[in-house]
Amino acid sequence: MSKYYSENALAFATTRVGDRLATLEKRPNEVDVVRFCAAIRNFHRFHYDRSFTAEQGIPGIIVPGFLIGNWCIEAVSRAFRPGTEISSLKFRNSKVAPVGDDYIVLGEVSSVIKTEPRAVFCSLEVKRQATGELVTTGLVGIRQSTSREGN
Amino acid sequence: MSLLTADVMDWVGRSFSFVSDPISLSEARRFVAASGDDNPLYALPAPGEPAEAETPVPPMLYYAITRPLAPSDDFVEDGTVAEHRPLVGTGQTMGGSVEMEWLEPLSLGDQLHGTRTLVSLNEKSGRKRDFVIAEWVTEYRDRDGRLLVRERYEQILF
Repeated sequence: MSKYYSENALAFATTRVGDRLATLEKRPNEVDVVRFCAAIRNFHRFHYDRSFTAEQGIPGIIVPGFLIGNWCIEAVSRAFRPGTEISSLKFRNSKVAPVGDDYIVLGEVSSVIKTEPRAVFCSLEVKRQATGELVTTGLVGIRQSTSREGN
Repeated sequence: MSLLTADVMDWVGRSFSFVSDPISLSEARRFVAASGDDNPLYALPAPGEPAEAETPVPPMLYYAITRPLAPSDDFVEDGTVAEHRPLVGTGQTMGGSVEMEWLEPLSLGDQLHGTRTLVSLNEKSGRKRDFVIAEWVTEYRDRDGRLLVRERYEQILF
């Protein structure tokens, strides 16, 4: 199995509510933020203009919400063995996430739909590592892979 | 004074449609590199190598390819494109909560036809300012009309 996946990655068919996902750690810098914003065509000044964020009372450059949402997808993708794909994502940013901080993505299996088509949902929390402050909550759904050979 | 003027409220129920370019190898490569998520499911061919049909791409890429590539004159002060949204207060906006559902995985070459509808506008009072939450629902279909992605997005206007 590819090194992409977590040690002791979960099995889609047998995972249970309460199973913990491996913690994902992130430390986005300004280059990461600009590259991601370019990739999703997001040119909001929050993500590159310190004078603009200062006027808004925000300390520094902000990590885009969609990047944090993608961390939730990544945390779940790494946590399950090959053969699943993402079916849904829901996220809400409750605090701004400044560049330069360390972040952790914590998650667990929160529900399992056992009737066909089987589905698994994972609840996630993205926190500032230093303070434990919650910046984003997420819910990611997965299903059996339908594309090519699966992941 | 309420931010929800009659002109602003007139937007509720409005829909608009858009079409993306087909998802290109270049767009997919840019997204994978920038996201830092090197999921082997989205392993793209090396530069110069041909892409296989049905090559899956990251799910969030739908969002990237459907954002407008607008000329400078269409941007407002905060760096966002002002088209297709009610101008509330200072005209600024930021993202709120988002829900996305992928009914089928996306692949290279998919071209998305979107229909976005403004479902509601609600005024709120925050610590710093009053603002409005615009709730948008968007459906993204392929060339054959199959529903691929459903999205509910809260846009904060202030």
